Amino acid sequence: MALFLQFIIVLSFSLFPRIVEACAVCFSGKEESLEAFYLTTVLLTLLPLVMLSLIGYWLYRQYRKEENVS
Amino acid sequence: MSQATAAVKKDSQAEHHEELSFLYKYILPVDHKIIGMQYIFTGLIMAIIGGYFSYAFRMQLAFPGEVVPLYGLVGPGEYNMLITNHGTIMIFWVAMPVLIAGFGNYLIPLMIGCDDMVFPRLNRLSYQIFLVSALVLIASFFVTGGGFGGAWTSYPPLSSNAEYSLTDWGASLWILAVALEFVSFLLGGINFITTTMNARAPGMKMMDIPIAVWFIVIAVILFMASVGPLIAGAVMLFMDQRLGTSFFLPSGGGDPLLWQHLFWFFGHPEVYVVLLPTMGIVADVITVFSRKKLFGYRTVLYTAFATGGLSFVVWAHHQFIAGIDPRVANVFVVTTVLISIPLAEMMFSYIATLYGGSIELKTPMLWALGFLAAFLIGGVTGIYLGASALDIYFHDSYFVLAHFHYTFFPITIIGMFAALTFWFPKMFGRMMNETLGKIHFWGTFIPFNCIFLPLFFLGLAGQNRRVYNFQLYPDLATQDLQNIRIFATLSLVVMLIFQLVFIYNFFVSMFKGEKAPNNPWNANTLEWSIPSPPPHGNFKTLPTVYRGAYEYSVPGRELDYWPQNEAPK
Amino acid sequence: MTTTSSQSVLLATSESSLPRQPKRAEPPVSSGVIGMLLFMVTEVMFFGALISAYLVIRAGLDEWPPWGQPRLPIETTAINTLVLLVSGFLMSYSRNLFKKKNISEGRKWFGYSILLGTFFFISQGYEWAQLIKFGLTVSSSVYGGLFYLIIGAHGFHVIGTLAFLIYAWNRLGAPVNPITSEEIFPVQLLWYFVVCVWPVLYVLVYLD
Ligand code: HEM
Ligand SMILES: [Cu+2]
Repeated sequence: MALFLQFIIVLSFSLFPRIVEACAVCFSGKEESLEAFYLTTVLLTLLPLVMLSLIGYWLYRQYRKEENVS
Repeated sequence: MSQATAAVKKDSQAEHHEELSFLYKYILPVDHKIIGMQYIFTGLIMAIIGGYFSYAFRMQLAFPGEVVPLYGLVGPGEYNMLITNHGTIMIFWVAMPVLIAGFGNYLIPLMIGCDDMVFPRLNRLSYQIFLVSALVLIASFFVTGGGFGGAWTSYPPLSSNAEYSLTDWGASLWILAVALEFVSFLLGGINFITTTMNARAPGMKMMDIPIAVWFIVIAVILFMASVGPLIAGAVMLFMDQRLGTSFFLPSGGGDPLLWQHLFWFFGHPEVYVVLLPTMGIVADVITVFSRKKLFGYRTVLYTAFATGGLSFVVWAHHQFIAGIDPRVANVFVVTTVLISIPLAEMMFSYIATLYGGSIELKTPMLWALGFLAAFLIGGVTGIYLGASALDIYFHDSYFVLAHFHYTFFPITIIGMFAALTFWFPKMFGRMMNETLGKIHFWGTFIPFNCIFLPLFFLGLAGQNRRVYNFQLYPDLATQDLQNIRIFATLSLVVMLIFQLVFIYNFFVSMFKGEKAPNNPWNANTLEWSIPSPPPHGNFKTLPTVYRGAYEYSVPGRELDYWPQNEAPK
Repeated sequence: MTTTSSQSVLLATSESSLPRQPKRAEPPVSSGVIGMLLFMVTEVMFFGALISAYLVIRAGLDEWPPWGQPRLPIETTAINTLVLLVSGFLMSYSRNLFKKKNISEGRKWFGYSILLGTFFFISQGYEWAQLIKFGLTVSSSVYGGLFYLIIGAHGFHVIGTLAFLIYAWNRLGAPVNPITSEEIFPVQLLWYFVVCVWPVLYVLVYLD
């Protein structure tokens, strides 16, 4: 348990990193820019997963019915 | 005219299909087999161009500044153009058309037991757009300024600004070709999925579909769900180049990081898009040649779903040092490492399939085994790269290059040869020569390792990618490093020479080879139940499916295989 | 089978299989609908990326819209938005009539829906002409570039879908080779999509 706690504490340091700006041409690093990137990252990641699982589930149900009937 | 009436007309044509004129049979075909072969042959021709490019720039690295035989002097700008178009061609014009569009078209209707794709003419349109895209790409090499040289990832501002890239039209034609190609695969992809859903032979349940078909379909779904952002990015990049907008230019208020997001959002799913078809083909090949049921059909399938789902959430591992927030990087480290779990599970399933089987080392089987062995190295090194701290050192080094060649080469080249040698009898009605096939395998597989294993060490020694001449960097110009480069290049030359064996074998067998029976490998899937090559319209009578695709060595049966369409007694 | 235009395949829903024994079961969801749903996934991702681009670029600039750029016509576009939404409702109304096998009535409302869509397109084009006159062009600023990119991408979809819709409307009651109302459902779906993304883009680009 103690080991686990140590692990969690050390891991939590990674939540407070120093911002590194490696890219020489980027003007960002602005807080709004970072937030916009967060938001769009989440948006683009979730969109396909949500859409595909909805469509997939719907199709699966339609075809399941069919297979059970026949 | 509607499809319904088209289908009626097609019926009457199918009765006397010999009457199809040459024009409609080969130039404007709607037959999925012909379209599939058109894709495969176009892809093979592009592979020759891509291979030739790699020869030219590897020679420059091994013998900098010398005239390359059969090519000439490689200048710095030309070097960039060669590596850029080598990468682009191999991924978008070889891996995608051959593995997905080519074999997808050829195999899906045959394996699920129908006469053609659901939308045959959409299919033809897809190939035509693809052909145009290939021609546009080739044309881009010849415009003033030469072909595009901003790497296959084409990061702005280098790619968006003609003053930096020095290839005004080359860059624009490149992005145009890529966009056209995506549109083409989009149309093809719609066809693959709908056909598999709606045109299966009676009795074929979801869990009776061969893994090869499943994986091509999953790959296409991934492609369709991820390509939108790249098309959007391509339009924006094109506008930056030609209309003077500044979406990716910081000086005009844009953001170059944005392109990286859009590109890699597609780019990472893309690697699984090309991986999955080969994985599926290999599953079919190894079960046939180890005469065993596929170990854990459902597990294999579910791992593919898991890989597909996860592949949307890992893309930022390509941008660890591009200035993204380190907290975001942490998340992507975790997902990147996670994605290797389903892949490893799939690998174990394949190995378990081999375990205890009566393995027959025919040429396709050699390729399939070669794929598993080589891809394993590629996958494992990916995990190193996925750790953001390590990646600070590895990024854009030859270690990354070796990593992705250990994934892409097995997928594209080794997987393609596995598929070609396995289905050659079905496609052309003749057997390939086994001895030549084996010579070709060893002549490709050993040099392949000799090329890319050393590159891992060059990468660890600090050698960067995309450098024209290492003699300019004292740390990298030492003789022992140069010797490694020369060794890798000579291995490449050896490998390229051995491809002549394949070309010879391919064409001689096509015309003079031994006649192939319907089912030369004693396999179960439906395509082996009809004559080789299959006639127009494929099946004389619609087959009925009674069981899964992998019933090999079933106890209590005389034969060690059990075709899917054989009626139970 | 080779005489038809290549677009009409998008309208197709029936199987290309040959009616031999044993028969394949009628699929629960027609091929055209599945194909269109998949295509729409790609489209949603495409617009998702454009929206992302807008958000990211906008967040990077301090002044929005940039100095010296004309303001967008919020009010006229609001009316336009309404027109497009009504067009969408009419489309679904006609779909209902088709379902009840009331083809001729359905075709009428289908036609009205197309008319409203065309009105939307034309008035958007007029708006563009005004904006260009006031100095908003693709290269005048990244603001202008984004405006023309996003609204232009949508306009492109409007005109493309309208072309399909008009084709379908024309063929629906045609004396030779008519298509059934089931077969045009995929194109109607595409129109729903075009109608539904517009309010999102309007709020994002015009109001925000
Ligand atoms: C186990 C799975 C994998 C993991 C964990 C993984 C991880 C990574 C990481 C972290 C990078 C970025 C390295 C850098 O740029 O610094 C990378 C690069 C790359 N990977 Fe993988 N990878 C995996 C599988 C694959 C597969 C299957 C393919 C191809 C089919 C592939 C193709 C590539 C390519 C092409 C690049 C380099 C892109 C470029 O910068 O040009 N990877 N990989
Ligand atoms: Cu990746």
